[in-house]
Amino acid sequence: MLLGLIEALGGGYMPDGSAYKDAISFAILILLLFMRPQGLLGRPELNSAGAGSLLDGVGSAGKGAIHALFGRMDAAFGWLAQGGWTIKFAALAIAILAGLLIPSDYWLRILTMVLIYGMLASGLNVIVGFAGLLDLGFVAFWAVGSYFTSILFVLVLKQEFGIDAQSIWWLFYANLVIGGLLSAFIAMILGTPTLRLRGDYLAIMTLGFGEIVRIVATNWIGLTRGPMGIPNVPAPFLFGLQVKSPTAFYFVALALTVVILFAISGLVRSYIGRAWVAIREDEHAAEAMGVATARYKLYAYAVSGFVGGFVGVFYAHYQLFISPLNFSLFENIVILMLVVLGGLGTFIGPFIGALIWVVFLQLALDIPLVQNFPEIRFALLGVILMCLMLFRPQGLAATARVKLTMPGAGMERA
Amino acid sequence: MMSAILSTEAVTVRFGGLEALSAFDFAVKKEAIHGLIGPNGAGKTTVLNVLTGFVRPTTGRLLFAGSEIGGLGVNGIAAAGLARTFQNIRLFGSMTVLESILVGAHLRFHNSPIGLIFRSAAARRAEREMIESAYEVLDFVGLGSSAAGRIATTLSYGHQRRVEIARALMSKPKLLLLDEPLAGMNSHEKTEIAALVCAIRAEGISVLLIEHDMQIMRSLCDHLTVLNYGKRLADGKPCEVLGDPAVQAAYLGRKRV
Repeated sequence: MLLGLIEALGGGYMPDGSAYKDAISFAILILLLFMRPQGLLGRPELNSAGAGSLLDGVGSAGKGAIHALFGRMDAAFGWLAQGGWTIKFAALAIAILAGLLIPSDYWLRILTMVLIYGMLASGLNVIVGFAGLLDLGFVAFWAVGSYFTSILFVLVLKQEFGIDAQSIWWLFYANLVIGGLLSAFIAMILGTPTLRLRGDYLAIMTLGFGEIVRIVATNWIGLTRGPMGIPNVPAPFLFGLQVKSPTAFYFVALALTVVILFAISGLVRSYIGRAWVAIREDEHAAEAMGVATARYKLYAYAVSGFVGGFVGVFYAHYQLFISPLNFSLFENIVILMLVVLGGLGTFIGPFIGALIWVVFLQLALDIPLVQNFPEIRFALLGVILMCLMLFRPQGLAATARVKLTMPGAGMERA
Repeated sequence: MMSAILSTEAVTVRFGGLEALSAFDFAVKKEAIHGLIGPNGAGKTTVLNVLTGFVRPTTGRLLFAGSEIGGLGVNGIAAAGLARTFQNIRLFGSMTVLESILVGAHLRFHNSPIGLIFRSAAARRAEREMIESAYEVLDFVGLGSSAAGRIATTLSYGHQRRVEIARALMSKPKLLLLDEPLAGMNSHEKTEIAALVCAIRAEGISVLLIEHDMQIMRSLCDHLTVLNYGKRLADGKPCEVLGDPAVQAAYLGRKRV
């Protein structure tokens, strides 16, 4: 009720207010949670009750055949996770061969989407899987990266100065980093007021941020062209050659995936990653070990934001068109679902999740019922996800547990 | 007389109307094993929470290694060189023993994130040194390197205690706070942990011990402080303190019946 009142008043008084009505109510919600983390009338204990970890209380149901199946899968993932560089290079070789040998453009585009979603899910995994903080606003960082590069290339350089994308092709690569840093910066700003929150309250607050960014993107027409979106984002160039074919895009995406995974694993398999997992498992104990928990939570937000922005820049130049519709809450939930489906706190999980999701969306089109009602795919996926949560709550690749010590640093005694 | 590593001056803690700790003074000497005892609800845990920064004192000062630590916060106090274990063991689930105790060494790492991403020589060296040091600490607490790769929470209760102590030791503390490390152990295990506490002191680390087992406390501690109803009831050598009729009445007398 209070929200409604302020929303109506704000809508009346602010210039252009009605358009930002939803953004105002989310802003108030965030302010409220910042001032009173336990809600307006709630008791403080409620906020401290739900520790952040999504991995808590994981049990497993199911019997017989299902267990046997999962057992074999666990062994496989466990073996994959144990393997050192050979396994990694083998995986990379398979990915490269797939790019070279798959003749169908259609399937290459699908695999590119798998990589994009896998990268996004890996970014979200840093904050949700490793640091154990539920983030429903991740999609905002993706949007910031996409809009940053699109506005720069299309609305500023092309339309204001008439500069062709080909003449400054290197800017795309610089933008990957700049867009990432911009998103990381925003992520840290957004992360700051959430530091005291946990569980449900944290989820609501981050949800608010995600929605605010989307609403601003929809309504700030002067900057983002609003719902019309930004068309004709140039495809990236590499030394004067335009990346056009699906094969080329696939390889760019693959290269970026390697970069992202290399960077994330460098951070996770060090004292920083150990601090994140310690925060996830027991924040007070982590703090007592000297971990500056607030600072490390912000680092997690920053890394997550960086990956979001980084992928966002590539995404804009891949889709060649972006609009606020690309960055809805639904997308955020999908990305979160990919992480949970694949396995929180693993490196391979987000990609497994992305593979299942994207490929399922395409394959399901062959089912006659789905051909008539394409939307039913989402319901089917929901059913699959529910079954998985019942039988396999820790995610498919849960045994691909990430070692938190640097590779090759004296583990030989173990 | 050796100087004090940790001292409190008139520390009072109030929770609403309840005074959990009133004008509490005490001092832990350097390289001493200092025991803190008292009946249940006497305020021992409050003392510990104040010392480690989980609770801020309402009034009073906390001095550690010559400087005020009252306003540092939990991780600031840990950084000053005060490590602790928890009454109900709080290990990080899903982490291996090695990883868990490396978290204890958190503050000894100074590598930049860029160095970590590119696995610079400095980052690799730091990691290798800490892992070496972790294996030494594992040996020291009597776990051996075979336990290093196991998930810490799957170990037996007694071993989990040792992992927790190892984790605290990894920060190279000046003072170690042990909150009921003997709880739930048989007499054999108790003797082993007591020996470990002596070994820790021999390394030059002061120990503040909260415990209920009077026999062990009598033989282990150099100094005892007794707490009752949030006030200091007695303070001195174990034999003097435990012989004090007021202490016996408040604490031991009731237990002997």
